[in-house]
Amino acid sequence: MAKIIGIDLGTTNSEAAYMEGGAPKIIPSAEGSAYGGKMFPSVVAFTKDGILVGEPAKRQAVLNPDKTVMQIKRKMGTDYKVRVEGKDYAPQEISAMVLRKIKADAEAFLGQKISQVVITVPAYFNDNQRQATKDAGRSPAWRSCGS
Amino acid sequence: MPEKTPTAEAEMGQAAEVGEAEGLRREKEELLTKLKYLQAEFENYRKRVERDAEIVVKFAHEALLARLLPVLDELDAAVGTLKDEAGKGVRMVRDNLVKAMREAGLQEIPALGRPFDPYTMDAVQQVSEKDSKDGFVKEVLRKGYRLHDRILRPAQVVVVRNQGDANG
Repeated sequence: MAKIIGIDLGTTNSEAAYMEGGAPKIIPSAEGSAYGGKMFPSVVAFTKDGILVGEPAKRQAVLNPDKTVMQIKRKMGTDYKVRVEGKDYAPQEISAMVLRKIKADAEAFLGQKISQVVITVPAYFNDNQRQATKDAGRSPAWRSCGS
Repeated sequence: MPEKTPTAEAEMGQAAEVGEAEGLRREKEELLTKLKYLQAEFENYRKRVERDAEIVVKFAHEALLARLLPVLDELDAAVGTLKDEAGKGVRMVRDNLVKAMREAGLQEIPALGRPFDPYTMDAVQQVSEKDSKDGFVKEVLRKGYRLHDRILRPAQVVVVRNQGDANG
């Protein structure tokens, strides 16, 4: 049985944790620094060298504000689209990029594949917003553990 | 109600035994699966603990070095401001501190005049300057440091941006 991780998909930052010996342990982001913390900023940037997610995306935001997407959680469950270089991205697609990054870093940290995840949603999220979060979780080929 | 013949009783007994055997076989399979899972889990845990122990030794000074960075920043600022003998004295103290921190694994991240790298630098400002190359670091506002392969603190930089997106 593969490990299940929990992700707090936040507006500004996201965090991930897993259970070990009956206690939760935080999974640090690959670029996390002692100074900046181990969280995953919920930021996605489209650059000429490719897509950046998390800390590197946040660090270049000043230089590339038009193609840096922040706080997308606020738009989850709506028809809002982010338009970058002529392509439209739904909020759940952007969130999926954040989740993929967390998954990759968690797999590197734990040394094993992760196929199941629990993603948090705020208590006030409506059905659309919950469904959008689930869709974001399904995109990176994860299996949802229930709702 | 028909009476049970010895043959029927034996058959019932046999059926019960078969049922019990089936139950035990299932239980054995379940336990075996559980054991395999626990074995794999333990093996992963053992590897992780070994790796964590190595990391703890390698990065033992991380928290202390991170806390000393603001002190180093202040000494750098003092060296830049103070002149004459006082400046010389502060520079010596600063150099000794840097030497000790280097011996503990601290390395400065080279940034000035290099292309902006979001993995090691934090862009806080952009400037337009015809004579400088686009997307390159014009000024370092706060030095960045790494400990071995880990970024302790990214360098805070000002980046040249003359046309379009410097990074996008």
